Amino acid sequence: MKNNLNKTLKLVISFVFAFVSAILNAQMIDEAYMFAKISHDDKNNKELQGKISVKKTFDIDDDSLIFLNAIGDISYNYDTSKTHIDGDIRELYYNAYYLKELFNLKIGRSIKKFDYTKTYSIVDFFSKSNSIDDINDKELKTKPMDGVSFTLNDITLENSGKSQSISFHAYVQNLSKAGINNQKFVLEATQSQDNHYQSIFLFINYAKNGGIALASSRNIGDSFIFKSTIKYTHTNKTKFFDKIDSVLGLEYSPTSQFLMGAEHIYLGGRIHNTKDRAKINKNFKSKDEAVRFYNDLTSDNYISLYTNYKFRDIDIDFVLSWLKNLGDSSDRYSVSLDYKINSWELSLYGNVFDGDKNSEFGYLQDNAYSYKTSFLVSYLFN
Amino acid sequence: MKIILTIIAFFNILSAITLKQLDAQRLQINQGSMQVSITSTNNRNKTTTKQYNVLRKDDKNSLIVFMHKSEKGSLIIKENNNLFIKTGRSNRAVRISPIQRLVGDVSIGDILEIRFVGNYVIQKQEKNIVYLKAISPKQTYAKIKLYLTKNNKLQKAELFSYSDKKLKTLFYGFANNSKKINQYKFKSRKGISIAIISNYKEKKLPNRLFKKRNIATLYQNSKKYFK
Repeated sequence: MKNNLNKTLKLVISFVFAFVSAILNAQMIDEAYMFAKISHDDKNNKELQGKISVKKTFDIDDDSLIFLNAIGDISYNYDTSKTHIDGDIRELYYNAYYLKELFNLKIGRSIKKFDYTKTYSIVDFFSKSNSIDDINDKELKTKPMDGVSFTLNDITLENSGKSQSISFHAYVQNLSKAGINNQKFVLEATQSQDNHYQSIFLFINYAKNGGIALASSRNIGDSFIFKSTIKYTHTNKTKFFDKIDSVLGLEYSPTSQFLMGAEHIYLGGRIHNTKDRAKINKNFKSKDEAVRFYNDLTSDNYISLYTNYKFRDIDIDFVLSWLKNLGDSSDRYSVSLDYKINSWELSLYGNVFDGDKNSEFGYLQDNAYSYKTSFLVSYLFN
Repeated sequence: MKIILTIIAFFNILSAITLKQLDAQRLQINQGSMQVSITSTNNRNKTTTKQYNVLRKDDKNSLIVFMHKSEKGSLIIKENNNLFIKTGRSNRAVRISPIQRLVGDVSIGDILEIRFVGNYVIQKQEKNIVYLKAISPKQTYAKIKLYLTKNNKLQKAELFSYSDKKLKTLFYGFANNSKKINQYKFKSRKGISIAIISNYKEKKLPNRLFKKRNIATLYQNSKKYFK
């Protein structure tokens, strides 16, 4: 174990040196981001993880560019004494506008997100983060996709206070490893007008499961935002509501320092009762497999309440959230504190799970951890 | 008597100030870039200074780029009056309400709504006081009570919320030997904030700088427009 630790330390030092070199060559990069995270849970599992991300935009001319984002990853598990080292091109794409922005082409590897809700997105056709804990992707977990997007912009509305566009997206996950076997296609029409932003999506994936989704976000007065998304997926499920996903949310922010919100999440056709869940739980071969499975929402009915307070004088951001599984009455409580000092950020966050043995969050409480805390130090150079 | 009143009313109309005349004292930025420096001092005498680079295209599309060390990489875009924020290195565009503040007592609207025309109408005018009313609830303030000097120069403004609460008082500052305002001093119960606008440059800007879907790369891609 000691040898492994020494090896890890050497790698960490090399990692830091690589980062420092990157900063010294700052002219060569636009942005460097690095974090180190230590996690600890009540079953005494510890993990040390670090990642570095560098970004560079190459301007070809006023209307086209190439964007590159490369990441390096190193982690050490104290219990298994295993070190994991990895590196990848996270984004590399060509983006060009033609005919005065009438037409946009984006081709290559990129992270494609359609943000409409806070706790959980049902219009994440491409880039699933595989985590409900890190919505801002501080740990760079969001998976990129390879493919192409064509967008047609309505340039006749330039001075009307409206904008409209139609996009076609065709993407696969990891073209070099998986080929074109997991392709997904999405047709997106988006419109924005005074205080209102809305999209309609038509989608189909490699399993020939197609569907339609509507998403909207609008201001109510000057302090409320109402968000709604609904998705119908045409599958062979017999019940209509098993084919429906929806998220309804309301946020209230009377000042920039304070925000509170609530979301109702309905995910049709997921695990509905504890009997079905008990069968699934029996099949997990390891704790990691269970943790991965429960990183996504697996039940059908949730309510989420969250609040955010910014202590302006001391640059601290405090977030408290509660996710309740309405089907089995299990709970997940999360808290996070972010403290910024110039380019450095210290983040402390924790999750607490509570519920019966075969409930969603209760299973994690009994078999993985009832609480987990993480301390993350990050540095952003741009 | 009627004739005298008609004559007085006629001269009142002639002497009544218009929003266009008031806007003429403020920056006439239709499409271009500017820099804003905000120094905020709270009641405990703690002072913070933060810089922002701003791009504007008409009244409905803007980009605020955060330049302070602790906020670098963060930006706000206004796409057809819809506000989205991206913080740090996150690629996420989160929709925010217009009342959100930048720093101290300075709201996003204080930086972006730099024109009265199109945002407010004159409700009434009494001597050197002009009462403005928002044309719709999307404006930052429901009512503005403007105080003018004898020469009809903007002196100060009392800013009211939609619940009719006085939020803060704004004092206008004119640049040396200039007829244009370049300093905005906001005073409230919480403290004082001073916003100074500089380096205003008219320039043609592409629409893609104000689109939510481009938010991930806007921080870098907007840099050349501030040179």
